[in-house]
Amino acid sequence: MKKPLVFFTIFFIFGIVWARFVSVPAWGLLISLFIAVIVAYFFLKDAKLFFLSALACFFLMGAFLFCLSLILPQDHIKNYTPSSGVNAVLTATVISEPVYKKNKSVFVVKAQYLKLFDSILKVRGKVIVWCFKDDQINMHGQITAQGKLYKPYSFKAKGKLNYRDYLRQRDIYSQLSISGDSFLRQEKINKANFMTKGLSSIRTKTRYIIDNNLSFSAAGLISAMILGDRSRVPDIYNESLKRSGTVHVLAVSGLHTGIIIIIALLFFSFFPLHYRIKYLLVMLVLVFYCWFTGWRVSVSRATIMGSVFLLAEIINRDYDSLSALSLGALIILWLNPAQLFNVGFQLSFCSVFSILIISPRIFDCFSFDYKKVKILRFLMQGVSVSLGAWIGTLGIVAYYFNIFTPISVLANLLIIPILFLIILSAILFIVLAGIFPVSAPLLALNCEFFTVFLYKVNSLIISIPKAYILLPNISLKYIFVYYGILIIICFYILHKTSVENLESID
Amino acid sequence: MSELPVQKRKAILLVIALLSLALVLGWFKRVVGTSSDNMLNLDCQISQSLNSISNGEKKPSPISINIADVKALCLLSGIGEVKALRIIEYRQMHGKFNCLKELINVKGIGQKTFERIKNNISL
Repeated sequence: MKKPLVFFTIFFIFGIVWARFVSVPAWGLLISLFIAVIVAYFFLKDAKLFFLSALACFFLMGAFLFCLSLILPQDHIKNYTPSSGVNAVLTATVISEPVYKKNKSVFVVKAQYLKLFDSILKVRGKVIVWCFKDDQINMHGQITAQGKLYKPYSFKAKGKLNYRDYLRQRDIYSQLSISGDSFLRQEKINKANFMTKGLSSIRTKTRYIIDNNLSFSAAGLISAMILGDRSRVPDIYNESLKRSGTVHVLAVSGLHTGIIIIIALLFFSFFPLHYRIKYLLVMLVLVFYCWFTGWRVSVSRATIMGSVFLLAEIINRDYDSLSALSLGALIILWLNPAQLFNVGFQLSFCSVFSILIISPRIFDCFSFDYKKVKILRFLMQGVSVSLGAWIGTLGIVAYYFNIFTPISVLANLLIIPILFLIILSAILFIVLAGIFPVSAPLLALNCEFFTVFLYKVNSLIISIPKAYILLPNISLKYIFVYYGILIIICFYILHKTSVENLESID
Repeated sequence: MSELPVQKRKAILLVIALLSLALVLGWFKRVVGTSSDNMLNLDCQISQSLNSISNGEKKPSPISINIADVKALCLLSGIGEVKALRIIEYRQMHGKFNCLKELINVKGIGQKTFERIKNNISL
């Protein structure tokens, strides 16, 4: 069995899913894990039995980790949060960038002290704050706020992802609502280290450049693509891209990471450095970019995959993209197993998984003669990748967004090159505007043009009859059946590919 | 897996063992490593900040300067750990406070501090 990490990750995921739907005591899982590790040790010389016990270990680790994520410390703020709102005073550190909406700002804080019914408690855990005041909130700053503390309400139908579940995936169980007559004080304490402060100031400056030189809609789009802040994307853009199945362009993703790698490699090529040092520096740039965009799942996944690729080059080893993807999933889920139920995580990993496995098979279906012509070959690659991603995300999109987008393959073929141009011109605009502010209005024109062009092309695509079909609510069991079949097909393809590789070696 | 040599299998086992150990430690930290008795176990400055804000309609009960310990005294605005210790030291040397104003005799507590806290203290 090749690619053991892929199988370990799949069993790790199975473990998390099992623990999510079946209630198992944590200590029982821990004892089973201990036994599985001992069994693996005894079967060290028998490859097949060792592999099976290793799979069992990863399955149990996934299940146990999920159970562990549900156990909250006794001093967690959730334990002091009532279902209906009560007056409370909270001292906390702001850990997320505030999102300013019409009449409120929303941000996440790390709770430190809570004053509730005349008792002052030392607490921990995250709290989402809805502030209905005009104050500008400083990230990493300490605040003392008075408001109503309560458990978040669920806003959507049972069985589907609702606001409460969404917050739980982010490890948030409490909400503080600060209304106009409540108290909010920002202390002068800033506990962030110099790196975080520097990064925060770069983000603020980038936002300032974007907001001051671009129109409202273009600024919203560029903020989403570069900073990962989707809160300011106009609804009309969001809806339009959703209907063509290209809403992923608004998320910072692997494409961005790829462009960053190319730019960084190009930049370091001007310096007389050893290629290993250059690759190490590019890895650092990737980590920096991941940090810059707020450790989003898609960027973290792409950063891990990119870093593994660069590391493989540095130590002269073969790069296996599927194993790198598995490592990415394993790391992200290890840090927060609830991410598995996050739609962003599911879309990101399913699309890349099917691009890596299904797309090459689709490409093989095209006639060899056409592939000799460079432009046709390029086009076929684009179709294969787009179709592969579409197949991989079809079930998730239908379940969460109640939409079926047959036009998605064509839309991606047209939109992705425009997205590439937008990102490239946006990076150029931000970097040069930061150095030479005079050039900003001129460089902003490119961004304006490409964002409008993207919208126009997308509008044209969705105007095609039957470009998208709105669906009723779909039961989860159909989605499981769909992905069950897809996984079987993927394993069949993997098996066939490895047999073909062996035959070609013979 | 059969392609993997024994050394790699050993490495995998080591990784599994280390990950399992990390899980055990994580579990131990979450379940055993926290104390439920966290009342008033807090930073003095932050407690002052919190205490200065009224929590809803209910007013906090005044702190008795003749009984309160360091942690309770720290809840008063402008009283840190050092001043709280001086109040207790004064109490031990001179006996109980007869009136609130006597607090000014404690080193470090001036008229300003007294004015600020006088509504939150009792004998």
